[in-house]
Amino acid sequence: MNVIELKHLTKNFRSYKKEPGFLGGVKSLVSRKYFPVPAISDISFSINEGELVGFIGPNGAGKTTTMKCLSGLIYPTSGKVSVLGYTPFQRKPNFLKQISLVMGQKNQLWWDLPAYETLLLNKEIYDISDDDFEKRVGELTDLLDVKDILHVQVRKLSLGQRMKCELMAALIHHPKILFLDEPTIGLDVVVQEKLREFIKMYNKKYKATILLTSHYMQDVKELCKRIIIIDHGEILYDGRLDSVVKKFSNEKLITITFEKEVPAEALKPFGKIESFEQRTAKIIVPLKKTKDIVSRLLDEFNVEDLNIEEPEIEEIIRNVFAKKKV
Amino acid sequence: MKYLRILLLYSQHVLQYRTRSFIWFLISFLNPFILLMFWDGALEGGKVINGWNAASMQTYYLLVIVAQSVLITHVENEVAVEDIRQGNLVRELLKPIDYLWLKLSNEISWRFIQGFYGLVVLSIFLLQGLSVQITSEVPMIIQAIIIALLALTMSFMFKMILGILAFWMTDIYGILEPNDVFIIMFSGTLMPFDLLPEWIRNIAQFTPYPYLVYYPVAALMGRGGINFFQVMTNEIFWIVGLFALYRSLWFFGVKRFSGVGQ
Repeated sequence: MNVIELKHLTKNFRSYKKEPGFLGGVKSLVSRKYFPVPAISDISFSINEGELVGFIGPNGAGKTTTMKCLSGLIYPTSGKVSVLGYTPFQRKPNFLKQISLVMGQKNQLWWDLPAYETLLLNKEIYDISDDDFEKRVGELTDLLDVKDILHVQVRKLSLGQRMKCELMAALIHHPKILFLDEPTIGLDVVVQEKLREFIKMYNKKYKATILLTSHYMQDVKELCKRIIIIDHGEILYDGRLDSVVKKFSNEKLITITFEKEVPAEALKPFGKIESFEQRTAKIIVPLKKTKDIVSRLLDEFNVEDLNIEEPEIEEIIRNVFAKKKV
Repeated sequence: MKYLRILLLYSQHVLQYRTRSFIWFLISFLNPFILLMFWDGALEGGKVINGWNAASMQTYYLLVIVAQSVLITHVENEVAVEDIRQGNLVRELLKPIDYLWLKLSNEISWRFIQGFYGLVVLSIFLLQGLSVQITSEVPMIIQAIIIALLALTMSFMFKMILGILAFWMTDIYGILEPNDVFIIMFSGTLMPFDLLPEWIRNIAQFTPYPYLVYYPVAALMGRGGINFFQVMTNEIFWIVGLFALYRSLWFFGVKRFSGVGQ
């Protein structure tokens, strides 16, 4: 059953062009020429109940704008949006009680009070009974391992601890739909892993539908079977993650640091040079030739450090767009 | 009960900022206090101006200190700058409760703490021997309380409207700053409204400003010329009008919200 449906959704923001200099400033006082800035252009997709979908794209692609349309924060320019059968922008209390939006860079917790006080506020706002509240707090506390920090002022918590409390505040009303916008941003790898485990568990246990954006490929790879790739407000790919990864994992990224400076020309035969600064180069090489190229590099140069990884998610997205492979 | 519990939680939050709140109180306290001293000197020797003598003027400014702490809300800056411009409105819009109620809960908490400081200062002045001549008639006290509660509601609705104008404006200070000047001039914090020149009074009486401080204070003092029913009716008229205007502006304004900054 589809719980999220978007049909031909478009969102344009309005902006005006200021001519440069003082004269331009004076002119803009009298007349301003406004023009529409498209953030999302005619996108359509649907998500089934219980799905965990990765929504990825570079900065400014339209991910957050789409999430804001889905959670009823902003009004679409055109198109149809339906979430749990509601029109999000009407922001009916019954709709809002069934969704949650977590933004990694912003918080809803009261900064100078312990996180528990925000939970109490949410208890009242979401009409949660005393029994349910106690049960849910206990459960989430155990799962997120936040027992010792729930009564500490939020401003005294680390970023990872704060994010866990944020998730708790966002989930205390047991939302059926969860929009996660960069939930792991800025967190260390250990906390990232814990949050990923928690998101996976929450999705399975409560059959919650989750739409997740992240710049960390690891988040998407571990959590999502399906991904939607968006760029410049247009959907470039909507389908299984493994098809995209398989398609683009035919390349590897080698980061190599030389003991002495090496001319860039000398590296060209090895692959596509992504960047080259001082003694460190990033080279994209074909997957099948990785082993051979690494051994040649080690033979021909004095290497201080070498690292092999998959190209960054943004690189994959750029490839998807540039090569039009999907 | 739900709203009361939310109000109590907000009060707890506001109490975290008691020092900042006290400084704000002191700033707003200074103006009437200086004027009190000025009039004390000006009306020395039993002088009376338009029915105001030194004792009644003393009472007036002491009550103004309390009234402006309790009745003049300051929600507009938070709504315009923090919520709309910086995008904090995002987290409020996601809650299944009216934004207006959330802001009211927060604002009432601030008024409580500011009012508490006002009463403390008033008590200190009374202990120092300053006299406060309020009406002793219970019905008039009740009437003054009703006028004051309506004034608080008016002030809140008026400031909410100023705040949400930020949906249309990049820089809201062009509206907020002149408004502060009008409050000083016409609300009665500078001098009793009936001492202003007649032509200014004629204009100002069609604005919400005199209802914010002057009428509640004058009613509590039992000043002649205050028609309770007239003032109350006008206040209700203003509240209904402001509420309708707020809802209309909100309806159109929130569609312009882009959640920038979040």
